[in-house]
Amino acid sequence: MVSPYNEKDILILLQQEDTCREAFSQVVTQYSEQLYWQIRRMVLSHEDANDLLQNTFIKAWSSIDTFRADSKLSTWLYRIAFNECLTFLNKQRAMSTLSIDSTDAELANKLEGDSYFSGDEAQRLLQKALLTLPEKQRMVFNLKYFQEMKYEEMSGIFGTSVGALKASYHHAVKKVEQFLNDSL
Amino acid sequence: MKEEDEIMRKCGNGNHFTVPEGYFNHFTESIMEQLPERSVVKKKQPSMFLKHIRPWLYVAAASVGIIMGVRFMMDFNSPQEIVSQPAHVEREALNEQEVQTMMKHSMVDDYSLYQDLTEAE
Repeated sequence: MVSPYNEKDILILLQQEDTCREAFSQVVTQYSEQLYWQIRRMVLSHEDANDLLQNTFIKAWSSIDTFRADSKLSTWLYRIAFNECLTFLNKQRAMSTLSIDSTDAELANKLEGDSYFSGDEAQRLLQKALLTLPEKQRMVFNLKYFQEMKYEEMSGIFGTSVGALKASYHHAVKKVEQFLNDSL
Repeated sequence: MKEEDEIMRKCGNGNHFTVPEGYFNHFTESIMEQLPERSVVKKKQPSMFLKHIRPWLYVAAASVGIIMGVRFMMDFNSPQEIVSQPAHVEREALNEQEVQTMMKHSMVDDYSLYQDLTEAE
């Protein structure tokens, strides 16, 4: 019988040579899905999201010794995942000869032909609206709107105060509303 | 009313992204195959004995520091000892004849010597 996931036990097992691999596999099982959806909302394509999720866990594995238990393991993993996303998006932007707006439009067009997106016109429009936001603001919006994550937890991920995150979310909501009103 | 209600009403917050079938079922297995072997670097734990005496060591170190500090301050404030040659050494080195010779050369007569010694006006 598989014992339920317990972070305290996992952290102890991760420090022992004979159990660390098994413990890490439990960490992957526990967090891969939620991390995947957050990465996917940032990069939109499944292939890119898959690559970034793998990179996230490989990086976590190689630097697990540096993890300090003063934050939750999930917070640490989200931080790695979002850094991977930012690096990826910046690289993509640098490689593109198009302007920032055109790069976002290209991402939105990718969504149109994506067989792994089942949303209707309104949801496609929402994704387009989100692409107009700065990356960090988009991350905050996604975590709050789709995952209903608490600001306190987000604060640990971004290293930003709760007040600043609330303001960021408020601005994001206003911009998305404006975009939707102009488009519908 | 929440600030995002308007967006929620128009678009909802459902997840409309999908993944290939069985993607999450095989993900853990696939990632674990890619991970290199790793040797755990154990953090050296201090021994129990050291753990127990550590507070006392801190107290002892602080006490020594205070004592040294006080000592230094006291030494610093007290007047320096003047190291001088003992007077008798000089006295022994000079005999009667030498004193007579010195007095002759310094042109001091008996009367002025008497005046100097008795501080008479």
